Parts: sequence; structure tokens; C-alpha cells
Amino acid sequence: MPSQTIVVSDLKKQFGNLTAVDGISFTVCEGEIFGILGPNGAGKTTTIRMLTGVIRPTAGEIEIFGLSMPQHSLEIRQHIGVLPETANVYNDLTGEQNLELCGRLYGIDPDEMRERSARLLQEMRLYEHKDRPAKTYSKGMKQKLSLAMTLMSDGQLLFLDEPSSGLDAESAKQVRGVISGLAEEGKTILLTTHNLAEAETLCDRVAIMSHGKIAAIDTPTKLRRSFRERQSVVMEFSSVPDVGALSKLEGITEVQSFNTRVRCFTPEPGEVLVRLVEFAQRNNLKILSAQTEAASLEDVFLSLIRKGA
Amino acid sequence: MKRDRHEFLMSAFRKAMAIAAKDVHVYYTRGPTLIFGLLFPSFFFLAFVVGRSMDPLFLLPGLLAMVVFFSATAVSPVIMPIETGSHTLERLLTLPVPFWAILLGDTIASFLFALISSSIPLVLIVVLVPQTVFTVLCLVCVIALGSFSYSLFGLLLSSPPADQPSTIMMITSLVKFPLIFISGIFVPLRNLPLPFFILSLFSPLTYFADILNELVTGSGVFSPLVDLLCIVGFTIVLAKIVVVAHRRSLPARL
Repeated sequence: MPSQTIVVSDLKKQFGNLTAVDGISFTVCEGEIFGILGPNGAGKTTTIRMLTGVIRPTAGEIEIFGLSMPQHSLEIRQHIGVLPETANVYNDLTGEQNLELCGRLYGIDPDEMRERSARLLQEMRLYEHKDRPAKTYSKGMKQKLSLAMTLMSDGQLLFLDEPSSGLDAESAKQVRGVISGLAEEGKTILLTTHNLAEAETLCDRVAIMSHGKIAAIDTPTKLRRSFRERQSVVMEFSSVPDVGALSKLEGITEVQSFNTRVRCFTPEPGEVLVRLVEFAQRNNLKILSAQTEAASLEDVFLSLIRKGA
Repeated sequence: MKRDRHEFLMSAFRKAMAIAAKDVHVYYTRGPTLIFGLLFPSFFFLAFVVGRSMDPLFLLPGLLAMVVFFSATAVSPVIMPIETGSHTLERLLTLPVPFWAILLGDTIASFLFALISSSIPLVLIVVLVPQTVFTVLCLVCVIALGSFSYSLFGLLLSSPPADQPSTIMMITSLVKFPLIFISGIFVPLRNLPLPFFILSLFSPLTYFADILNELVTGSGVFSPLVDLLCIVGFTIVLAKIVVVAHRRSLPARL
């Protein structure tokens, strides 16, 4: 059984009367990619800030590599890399100088620092821009530089706060590729994201946060399966069906209509499929295609967020 | 245990120097630094002395004190608001650097700026007023001590969690200008009315200006030892207050 890299117990953070994080508990195992999903203000960034020792929790316990945070924050920070939410690079320094500053602050030997900096700049496809001030970089380039700064530590644990946020499709794909590569190297990664597809593709497990609490925590597949009411039957007819009549069929909780194509949500997709075939026969509709679908992570997410609200 | 402590302090100091080097690169050429650190004291000095019959011998230590005070408080107040606004402070906080070492790095950058700026009036003094080698050495040490102390003072003034340098520069101006008038720079301490003289005893600038007067013209009011002790005491107290004040305002900066 893999060892636990992060153990969080009953973690809480209050800013005055506002409870930003409300008694959350979870563990992250070695080599795992753990995602925290949630809308703005759910408490994701506050959680990361507490885990990385930037702010102190109001209550609860954090253990990283078996050491307590914030009591051992300097020792822990020596072995982690953190990508904060905003691409916070020094605009007046060149790409290379930004990396070297991080290297010096991690106390890395100068030769190793230069070698690591060159390798990371090449991996991020920034090497040819290394002597340009970061203020001349595009947003995507700055985010990649920020990620490279995070990786200067060569830490076994990485905290990535919205790593692909605001990036164009090409840059986001490249960043996701880097994260997958890091996971293959065996790094433990905790990331927050708004992007459900990203969470589903990258994460071994996800926690869905809402209003400072964890609403659900599991693998993306199990989360989707556990939401039976958001399973659906998608059927395409030869002509537009009567949606009102469809919604009255037994077992259907909601109908989404896209012209001749309908998506019927149901906890019993097998039975509803049979009823839809009978409905088509009764109404002289030809079935062009039919399939059942499990709940998407987006369905799970929205359902939990609505419940939380 | 003692060796671990020594290694930790050396490592923290190296990191503080790396932060100082970054600050030199990023902040020395910023508008507020040049305006408040170089232009302002120069024009302020000229505005005060041109057309007035003041003893040049009395003016030189005053000029030196003002240049050190203004230049030391020009860099350090700019750093925190800019790093707050650009979110680079959060990056620094996630690195294995003690918080006091971040503040020390900022102070060192400001201290070096004050040392460089003060070299011009210092050379002027050495050229115009014959000095012994010992006096020049004393002047350099006092300037270094004052530069460090006022760099901390500038850092303290930047502790409100603003993300715009202009907000902090307004606060620093409100504090700095009155200090110039009650600290014996343009008006000798002996000539100050009693209430202002009493007030001047609480100014961090008074003892620095006084010891410079004593070293250059022999006209100090207090004993140099008293001046030195007051500057050192003020520096130690400031160092502690700076760490506490910035730690307290940190959550509001993120």
C-alpha cells in the first residue's frame, strides 16, 4: 500500500466571520494525482495556501512527509514545488534569471541550477526566449515559466493551483502533458482546477469542494457511477419528438432536447431504453441511434454544487 | 545543534542576499525610487539653502543625513506593494526561505542604495572639510548603520497591505517630511523651541544628524556614544517591529 504523502484532518480557516475552509479531511498517497474541484470561493486556494504554509490554519492538522505543517514549514517547503494561482514571475527579470532566483532560494548548487534551468526551459519550449525579460512573454509563456520555477525544486510533491487556467488550447495541452509526464516520474501532485475534463483526464482521485467543505471524494469513475440519477439515455429520432410526452414516461427525471436528438436522465437507463423504443413505435418515429451514458463528472459536480448551495 | 543553527543562519543569509540581488535588479530603476531617493532630497536641499545665508559647514552634515534618510527609505517601501500587486510575494512565501530573510533581503537592497547615494555627499565633505582618516572611517560606519536603520524604517512604513506603491509613498511622505524639520537637519537642535526639541528626542533621525554634526563640525548636542546607542537601539526595536507588522498584514496581501 503506498504511503500517505499528505494527511489533512479537520482543517479549518476563518477570515473574521467568513469560514473559507470548514473542517475538511483527506489524504493523498505517494505518486497520486489528487484534484480539488470547485467553483470560485469554494476554498481551493485557501486550502493550498494552508498546505504550503503560506497561511496558518485556524484549526485542524496537516501532515506532509510525516512532518507537521506549519511547525516544519521550511523543511517541508524544501521538498515541494508550488505553482500559485497567478503566473507570478518577475517581469523585469529574464526567463533564465527567474529560474536562477528560484534555484538560489532552494539553495541548489550553481552548476546543477544552470543545468536544471536549461533543461526546464527546453521542456517548456522557452529556451530560445530565456534572455528576454518576462514582461515580453505572452500569458501562456509566463504560465509555463511559472511552472518551470515550480519544478526547480525537483520536489517529490507538487501543488498546482489552476495550472492551465486562462491558457489557450495549445498551451493548456502542453501544460497537461508536462503534468502527465511528472506523474509518470512518480511525483505526487495536488492540483486545483475548474476544468472538469482536465480533472477527469489527469486525476487519480478528485475532491469536490463547495462552500469550504468537501462534498464528495473518490475516483472520477466511481463518482460518476455513484450518481445514478444523472445517468442518461441519448436517442436520435427521424423527426422531432414530443418532449412533453417524453418527460411523462415512467423513470425519466429530466429531458434535454436538441432538435431530433434527446437526452433523458434516469436512474434506470435499461428500462427507460425499452420505454423509449415503445414510445417511438407508438408515435411512428424511426430510431437513428441510441446509447446509454453514465453521469459525466460535470453532472456530478453541478449536482453537488447545487446541493451545497 | 550549534552547528545546525550556524548552517541555518548562513543559508538564510545567502537567500536574503539572493533576494537583495533581485531587488537591486528590479527596483533600483523604478520611478518612485529615483524620485523619492535621489531627486527629492537634491531639490529639497537646494530649495532650502539657495538664497539663504547658512554656514556651508553646517549644511554638509545635514545634506548627508538627508541623502541617507531619503535614499534608505526610497527602495524598501516600494518592494512590498509591488510584490503584492504582482503576486510575486506569494511565490516567495512558498519557497524554503524564512520570512525574516525575505525582509532582510529587501532591507539589504535598500541599505546598498543608501550607501551608493551617500557616497557623493561623503566625498564632498572629505574634499571641502579636512578630515582625519579615523573620522572618515567613523563617518562610513555611521552612514552604514544609519542606512540599515532607515531601510528598516522604510520597510516598516510599507507594512500596511497596499498593492500600489503610490499609497505607501504617500504614507512615507507624511512621516518623513515632518521628521526632517524636527531632527536638526536644517534647524540646529539648539535653536528649536522647547516643545519641538522634546519631540526631536523621539525622532530616529535626530541622533544620526547629531553624530554627523559632531564628526564633521564638532557641533553635536549629545555625546557620540549616546547617539550611537540610540541608533543601535532604534535599529533593534525596528527590526522586531518590522517582522511583526509584516507578518500581521500578510494574510491581507494574498
